[in-house]
Amino acid sequence: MKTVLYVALVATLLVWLPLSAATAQQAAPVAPSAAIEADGPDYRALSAEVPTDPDRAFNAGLAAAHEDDIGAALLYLERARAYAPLDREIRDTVTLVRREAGSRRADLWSSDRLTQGQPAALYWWHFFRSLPLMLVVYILLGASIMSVSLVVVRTRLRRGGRRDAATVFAVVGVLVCINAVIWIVASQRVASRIEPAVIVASNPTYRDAPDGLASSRRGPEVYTGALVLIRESRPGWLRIELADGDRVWVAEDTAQRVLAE
Amino acid sequence: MVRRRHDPRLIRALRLAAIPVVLFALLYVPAPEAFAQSINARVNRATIGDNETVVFEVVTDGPVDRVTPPDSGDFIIVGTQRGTSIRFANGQTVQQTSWGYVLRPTHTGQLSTGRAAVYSGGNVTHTEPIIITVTPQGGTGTQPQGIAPAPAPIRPTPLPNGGFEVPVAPTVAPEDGGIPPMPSVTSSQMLPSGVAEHERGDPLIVAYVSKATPWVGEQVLVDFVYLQPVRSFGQSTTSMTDPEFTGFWFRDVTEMRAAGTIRRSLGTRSFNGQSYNAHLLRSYILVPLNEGEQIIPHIEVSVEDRRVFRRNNGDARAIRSLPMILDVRALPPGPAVGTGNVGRFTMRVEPESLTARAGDTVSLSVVIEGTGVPSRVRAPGPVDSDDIRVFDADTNHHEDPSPRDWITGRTSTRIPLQIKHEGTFEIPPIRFSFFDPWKGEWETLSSEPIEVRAIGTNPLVEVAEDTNEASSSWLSALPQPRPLNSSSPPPRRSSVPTVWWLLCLMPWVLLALWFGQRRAAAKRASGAGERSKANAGQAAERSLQSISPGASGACGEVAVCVSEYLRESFDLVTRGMTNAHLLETLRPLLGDEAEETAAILHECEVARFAGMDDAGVGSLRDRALALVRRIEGTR
Repeated sequence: MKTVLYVALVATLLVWLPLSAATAQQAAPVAPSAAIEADGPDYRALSAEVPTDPDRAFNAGLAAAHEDDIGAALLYLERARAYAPLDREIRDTVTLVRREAGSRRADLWSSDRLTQGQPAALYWWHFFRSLPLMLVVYILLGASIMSVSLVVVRTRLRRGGRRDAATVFAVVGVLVCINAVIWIVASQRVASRIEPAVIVASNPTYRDAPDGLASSRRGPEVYTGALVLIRESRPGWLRIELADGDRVWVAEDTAQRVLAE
Repeated sequence: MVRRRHDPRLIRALRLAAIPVVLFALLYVPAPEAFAQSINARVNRATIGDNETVVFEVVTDGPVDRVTPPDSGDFIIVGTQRGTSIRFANGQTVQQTSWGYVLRPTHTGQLSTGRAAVYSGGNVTHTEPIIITVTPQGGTGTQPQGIAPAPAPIRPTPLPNGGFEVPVAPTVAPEDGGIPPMPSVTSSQMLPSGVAEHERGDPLIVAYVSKATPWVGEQVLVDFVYLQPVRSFGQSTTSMTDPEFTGFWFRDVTEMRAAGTIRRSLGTRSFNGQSYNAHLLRSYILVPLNEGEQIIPHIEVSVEDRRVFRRNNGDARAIRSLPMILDVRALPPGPAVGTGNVGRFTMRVEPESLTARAGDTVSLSVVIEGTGVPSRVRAPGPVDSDDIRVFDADTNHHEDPSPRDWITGRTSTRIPLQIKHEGTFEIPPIRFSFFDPWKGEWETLSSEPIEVRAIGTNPLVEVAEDTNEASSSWLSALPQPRPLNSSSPPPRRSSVPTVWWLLCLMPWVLLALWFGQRRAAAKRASGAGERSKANAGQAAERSLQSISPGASGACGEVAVCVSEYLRESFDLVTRGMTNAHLLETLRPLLGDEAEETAAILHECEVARFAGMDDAGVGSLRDRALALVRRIEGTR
């Protein structure tokens, strides 16, 4: 019984310690909040100094929105969302600006049926971005220690209720370990393979080939603020995947990557 | 030299592991044919007149995903054609596919065809642009062999005897609340195309179109009919190339159109004074997407001619229909709903609930049903107001799988609405405008206003009060900028450091080591058991020899010695067994000695209670000793 208690205590500590450490990392603000003004600070430059700071990216997105640069606004806001996936205010702001972008797109392509949404793979990208990876690692470590301890305890116990209980908890622990490993591996694969970008050009065109001789076209699927996936890149060109799954080529400055690193 | 002996379990495990490796290799190593591919581009003429066409053909060997047309501003594509053939080369089958694009020049001079892109297996290959000399007034250019020049498209015109009785299903009677009626297509309304130049007795293909001047977004029915002269023998069709429509939404409705026929035969008909057997090749419903001249491309059938007294007997030749020009009219000025809302529709608006709490979200269902292409219909919805906030709608399209004359279906839209405050208010009427091509005018359907009661407030939902302002100026709804932290936030981990993997792996490694140690200990214990078994015979002999026949309880000692010997040598506990059971248990272990063993134990047991003289005890001891020696000798 003592062994089981020790194992439970160690597992609890392993889960609780990183959570408390993450909470303690909040630093005090040093600059006051201010409304977006024309002669205010250059929020884009501030974001460029620390591109991975979600607050700076958020402010830059707001500034770009006030400058009526919808593409850049969505780029910065999506970046802020990527670095702070659980921030509700950022998420709501992204939704608001995206509605405006959709409205402008519908005005521009009023005679076409518009494909809504975003590439399907981005769902998993957002999902794993919002997954606290190190927490899953701590859970994996805790579940591993707990499972191994329970297997040892079970082996030493004679037949009876305790031995059965230890067996059940050991199996549950092993399943938790397997799930955690799957999540970690999937998270790393998604992070390495999926590269989201936002169309920032104000009047974007696309081509069937990465070639200046290929005819450039305009269509409702490639619009300012559209969230796309970069599938291939060549000097001066990006091959992007659209919401309907089509892949087209755009000039390199038409789309910008959401992640700054 | 020491020869290493491999563990058979290790070899078996390696063999098992090799199976998935081999399967993986077979799956992921592509076959050599997959890489074999050649792409050629050619034109049928190097010099053309400004009112002629040239065919730009891309020919590929091997699998190809898709080909995009040549991108040139100097030519417009007036038709497409596609063909597939299979040839054998070097003992291998090669599928050859050709994509033909009929190009018409936009001006004269040295013009470039542009490049076509060939997509295959994730790679893209571009053909080289080809220079065509376009001369004014229909130049007499060279005519390379290969592809016959495509005829210029013409407009459909009604001919005196051009009508055709394509069996058309009767018009659906209107039902209450169902799809509104629409005119059916009759034979007299179908307009034929002309026919290409031909000899008398040659087969023809005629395209029929239901309307020569449709509206943008209107459905047009096109039938391609193959006319074979009644008194012709030895002509048979071998292959057909389907048309590829550019600038149209289209659907193949051949099976539905030919449902009442036998092998698509339309019977005997007269055309230009000659009798033909008519067969329906293909039927399409087309929806022009743009206004202006839109070209319906030709369809091509390969005919093998085996008439006896005819030159070129046995040759296969291509019969084509003439391309047709549709003069597509722009929709008259009307509501800004796009060109998708063309047809005849009904609308049904149903709220999910008429009573809710402030802050709750209720759904409004808008169903547009009728004759039209559902995927092109843009359904209406309410807009933000002081009372409700409108979220993005979820739209589904359903197209009837077996249309009769025209494409029918429904577009269902589910619009989430958030109620902003308590009270009773109305969702204003929803208006849906569509263009009726048969009437030639816009119509608007309007729903009744829906009264919604909001009782109480949902405490868990935050109602956005400023959405009305946001609808007028969305910028005012944006939040304020945030204060910045002095230190940059720690970068988010996207990968797990190796040390953490090792830490997570360590408990399992320790467990494996522990189990390995236990197993080794068990093995050692098992080895000791084997050794003790080998010594059991000698111990039993020594014990039996030490028994004195005159001593008290000698019979019991003999029985104990034999029982201990059986327990240690064969893991057999004889205590509590009946004589019959003992005999049955001993037979598989001792064979012929089983009966003697059982007899000695039985006699010892009897002697313990009934008594036995010293000679009898001695004899019993000697028999037991001999028994042990025999058993040990056989082992």
